[in-house]
Amino acid sequence: MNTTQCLLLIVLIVMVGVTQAKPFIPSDDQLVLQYLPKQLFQSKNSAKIKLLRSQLKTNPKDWSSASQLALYYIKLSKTYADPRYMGYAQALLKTWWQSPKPPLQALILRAIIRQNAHDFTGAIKDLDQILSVQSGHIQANLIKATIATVQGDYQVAIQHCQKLMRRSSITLALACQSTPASLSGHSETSYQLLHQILSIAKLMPEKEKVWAWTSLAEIAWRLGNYDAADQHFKTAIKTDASDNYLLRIYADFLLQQQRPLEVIELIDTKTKIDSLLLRLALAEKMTHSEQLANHIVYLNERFKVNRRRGSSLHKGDEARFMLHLLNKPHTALQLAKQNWQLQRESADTYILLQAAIMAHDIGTVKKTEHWLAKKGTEDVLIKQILATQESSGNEI
Amino acid sequence: MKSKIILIFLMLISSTAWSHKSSDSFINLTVTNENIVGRWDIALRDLEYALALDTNNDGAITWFELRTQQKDIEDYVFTSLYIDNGSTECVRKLGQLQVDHHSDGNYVVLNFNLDCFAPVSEIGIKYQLLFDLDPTHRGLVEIIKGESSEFVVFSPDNQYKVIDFSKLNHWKTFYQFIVEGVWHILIGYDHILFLFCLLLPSVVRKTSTGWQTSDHFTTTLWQVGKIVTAFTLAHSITLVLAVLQIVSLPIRLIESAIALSVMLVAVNNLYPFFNKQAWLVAFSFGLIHGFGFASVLTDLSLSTGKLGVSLLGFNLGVEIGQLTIVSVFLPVAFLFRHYWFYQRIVLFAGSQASILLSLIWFLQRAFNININIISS
Repeated sequence: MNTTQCLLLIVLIVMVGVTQAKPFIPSDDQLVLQYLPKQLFQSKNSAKIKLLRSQLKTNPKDWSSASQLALYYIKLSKTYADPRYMGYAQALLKTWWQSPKPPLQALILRAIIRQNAHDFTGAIKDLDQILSVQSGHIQANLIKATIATVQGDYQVAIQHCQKLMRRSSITLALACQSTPASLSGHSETSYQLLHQILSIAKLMPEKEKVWAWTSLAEIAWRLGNYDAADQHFKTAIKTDASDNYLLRIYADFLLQQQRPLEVIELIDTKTKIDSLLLRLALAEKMTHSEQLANHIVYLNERFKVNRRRGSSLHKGDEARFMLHLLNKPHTALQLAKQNWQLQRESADTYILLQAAIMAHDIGTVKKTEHWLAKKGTEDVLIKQILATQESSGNEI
Repeated sequence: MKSKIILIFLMLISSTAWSHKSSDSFINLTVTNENIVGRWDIALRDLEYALALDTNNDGAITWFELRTQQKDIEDYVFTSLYIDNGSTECVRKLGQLQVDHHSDGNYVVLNFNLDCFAPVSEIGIKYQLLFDLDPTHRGLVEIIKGESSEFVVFSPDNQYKVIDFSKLNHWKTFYQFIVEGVWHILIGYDHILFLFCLLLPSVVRKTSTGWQTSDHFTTTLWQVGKIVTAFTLAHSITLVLAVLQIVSLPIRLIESAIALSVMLVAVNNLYPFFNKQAWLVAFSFGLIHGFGFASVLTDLSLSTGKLGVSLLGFNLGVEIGQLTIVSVFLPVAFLFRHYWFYQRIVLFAGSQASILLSLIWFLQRAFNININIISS
């Protein structure tokens, strides 16, 4: 973006800030003001939810109704990537969390809610409590492995994945292990193993398949096998085109591959989801789309509100927004550093390095490089970022 | 059964891509004398969960459904908002129900007027909306009185807040930015180095007849004062111009030029070629350094929106930092000006080292060459 455009944009952001408040009284009674998530009002679900809610009203200590409803809201929250439903679940389970000996299922649900709120310490506490009673607990091990992977504790993650071998399917255990193993020096082996499993395991359930194909694609991407990665991403999308994590990562891949038009096509109508809208805006910057200015204003507003409420959930994305769309390397670096304290997935590392390079913070670059080397992470993209250190053209 | 549970969990634990905004409601309170004009925006999706607004169960909330339940909505939400003038609860008069579009969907807008009986110098707010249904919900309340404004976030752990307008002012922002300014000059190696290079010859300079030391501290102080004032004046000018977006230069150009300025001043210490007064040099290069400060300040301040206050505070902070450095450096330098150590090591070798360092900075910044050495 050149200086004039940047100036225009800032003027636009200020103007929107001023003119935003324009409430109105609709003139048409039938005007739809808000559509609700489909899953909420489909007759089969809505009747069940109503029933459960009314049961809870008469008997607030009804564990069966509370846990069913909470699980339902947690799923809804993931499907629509909407954190408010996590809040609903949290409120429903409050009674049991306050008891000195909560049921294991209540602890699992709390661990999931805490993990999703990025309260990893709290989640781990719950999981450890479960594992102290049942060391082979499948869900607890799986979540712990996931958190450990996100935080870069790959050896811990692998240990917990291996505990799954005995209690659940081998495919699940291996799929669980592939990401942490690939990030700690065993990319090629993990790739081969997971690929073979996927080609044999025809009966694998759909959700597991999407997860495994996405993991495989990510490993291939880090290895620099772009054609293979692209194919695997496409297979995953064919299996479930609504998986938000998958869409986000595939969009990142396409952006890195300089294929912005496909990003625009992929995200299309899913602009309600901020993380996807950010990817769309990044693609629009590459194609010089007229939509870009609007989307930047919109994203800016959303990040501002999140900042005000003290949310730490979006810092990685916000850092990318600051660096690539607002051209503020110092702010981006601050955010990326805070984000990296919490989570260290590939995308978190990319933005940290890019922001550090742009802000001339070579100390952070070196520290991160050292950490990656210690973990044995092989990643073509990181090599590229470090090698070019260019001011443009690397907009992941 | 086991595999079914796992399926669900796979979906639940995959990395979070939060996307939607969390649940927030926004309250705007404008205080004028005895009255408060209020506006409360609440997401329709939140009210749906609490009140089931979608009466015909078709998955869409229409204006009809909303306006026919106005009374229920008002009764429900106003039981969880309490506002007083410090002692007596303000009396509420409800206005027109409206709708506004927010970035994450439509919100109902409740307009209200509060009569607080006496001039409002203090306001107490208790906020509890939705906390029982969704502990992640937050109430974002902005209170405006004249020139001052306060922003409060209500959560289940923070449900009550008293705002005393007599204490409310810009001092907090101002103070924060003074700290930022001091901090920035102290960690900005390039600015410090520039200042040092400029000041090194103030107590002793190399001339064609050898080393010439200054005799009186007051003369030196006067000279240094001129240099620092010129530098300050110059970078204040460009800082303001840049922050107000009147002049805007690419950051890479500025940072490279700053490195270059250090280099030139250091070279001048060894081979004097600036014929003009030192303060003039300080002034011209100060203009460039101002742009450097600005890039940091705009990064910091856009979120607070108090540009004037932050600008003043930041600049003052930079000066405080600068004066601290000078007041530590100058007496020491004056004391040791006759010594071989100061002349040869500090001034001569110091300038040489500065040239090398600034050259490295320049290469890094201008050509993106990565040289593994201290970087600012």
